[in-house]
Amino acid sequence: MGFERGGRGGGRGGNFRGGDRGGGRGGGRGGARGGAGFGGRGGAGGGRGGGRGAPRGGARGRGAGGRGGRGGAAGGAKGGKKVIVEPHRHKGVFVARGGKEDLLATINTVPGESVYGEKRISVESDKKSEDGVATKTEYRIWNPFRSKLAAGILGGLETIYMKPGSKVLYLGAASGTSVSHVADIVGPTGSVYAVEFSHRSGRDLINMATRRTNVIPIVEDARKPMAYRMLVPMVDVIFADVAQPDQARIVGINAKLFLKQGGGLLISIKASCIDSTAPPEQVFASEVQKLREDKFTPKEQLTLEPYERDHAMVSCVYLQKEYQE
Amino acid sequence: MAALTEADIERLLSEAEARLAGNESSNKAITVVAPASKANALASVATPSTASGEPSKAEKLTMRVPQVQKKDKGPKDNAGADWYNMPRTELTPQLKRDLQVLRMRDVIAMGKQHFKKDNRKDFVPEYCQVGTIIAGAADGSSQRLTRKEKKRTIVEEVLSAENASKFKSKFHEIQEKKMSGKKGFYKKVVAGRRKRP
Repeated sequence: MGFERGGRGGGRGGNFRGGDRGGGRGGGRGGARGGAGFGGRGGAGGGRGGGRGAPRGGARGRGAGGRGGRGGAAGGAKGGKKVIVEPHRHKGVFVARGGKEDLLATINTVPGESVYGEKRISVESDKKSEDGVATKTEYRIWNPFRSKLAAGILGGLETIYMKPGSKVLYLGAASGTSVSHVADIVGPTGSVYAVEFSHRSGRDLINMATRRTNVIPIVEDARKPMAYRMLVPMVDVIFADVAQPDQARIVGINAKLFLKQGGGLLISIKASCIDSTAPPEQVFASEVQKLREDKFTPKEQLTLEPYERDHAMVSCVYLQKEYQE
Repeated sequence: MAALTEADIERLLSEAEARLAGNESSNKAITVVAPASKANALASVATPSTASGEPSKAEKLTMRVPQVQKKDKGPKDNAGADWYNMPRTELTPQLKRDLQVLRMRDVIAMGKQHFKKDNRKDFVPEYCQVGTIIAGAADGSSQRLTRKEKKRTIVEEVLSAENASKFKSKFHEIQEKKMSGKKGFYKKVVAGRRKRP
């Protein structure tokens, strides 16, 4: 794998996320080092190692450097290696192809800075702009182990609905790692309304939003969308990563207020958060049924393996059968 | 104008016929001015105003030249706003080699790693850029190449790797296998036999 999965650090408290994603998530995937990126199949790169590893991270202290509670070395391409960056099928997304792996990337709207210690790709073109300064472009590598949207893209989502200029309502923004990539996809003409209830990660989110002006951080409970109705206009897409037992309801009431007709929904469903006793497939089916009752038309459902365990990404269209640009 | 005689009309018609038959239908506008001016000359006294003043009806009567519609300017020079104006690929020999190497990553991995097959017909992508990875601020030395290890192209990176000598032996191994029983091989055998006695 081009990316190694680390713990996400614990202590995501707050009753919005319920701490469900807390420290128990950590642990490297043994043996997943050095192998192929998503382009590869990780042949002899080692097995899956000892399961999910022991819980690690725990309640980490705040501000423990840029990396935070992320465990393990970030595998993949070393600093200084050459890659070839190409457009991805999805608008605003890029693929960086290197000698050993392929990496997903988005443009960096704040060149020279990485948000959560991720690697960047610097491109210097020899063409000079009018004022004689060599143009420099920067991309940020997008780790599918840390972002469900990236995992969904690599899993083969047919559409992510968002593109440069889109308005996105992001429920469950956490510290804003994925949000920063979404902000870079929609670019300066679009905007991301990032809702997160936990104050602790909300702080990181606000810090990230100070550099990316197209992100509007909202530290509120997504169950009470009326609290932030003055901040959010009609949006094209809702991305929901709330991992709550009543997430279908949360998404439903937000869609009712903010999602345009024919808008898209991408929802990540974590089976163990909704019903840890039922088999995952059954949980996914019941969640999709709930979405149907909220007038969503499910378009596709895919598992986020091998990046997340027992997760599904469901893509829906609101009030209509087809997505409307 | 009306002063044209029957004979004149006959002559003009036959001239026109000859012209058409003579395949003079080039793309240029063929005006019907010439015969008209001849006619004017014939009836010079009758209509002097037409020669000098506004162009006569006959002079206005021209064939429309069909404008060949210009096609779109051809391929765009960047990938458009949806991909932040990524520029079109500038295919240098180095970049071409790099792209070829990317296609053969399976071989370079020597069976230790497998890659998704690249099914694209043209291995040169329409839009691409060559970039350099920058390690994160917190990444240690294991995540950075030293100055000596840094190279300008992917090909150079591959060739400077520690297992580069394996490519050579692998190449010779394959060559030996492929050339066995062919012309060169046979010649060697024969030469060996001749030496013996």
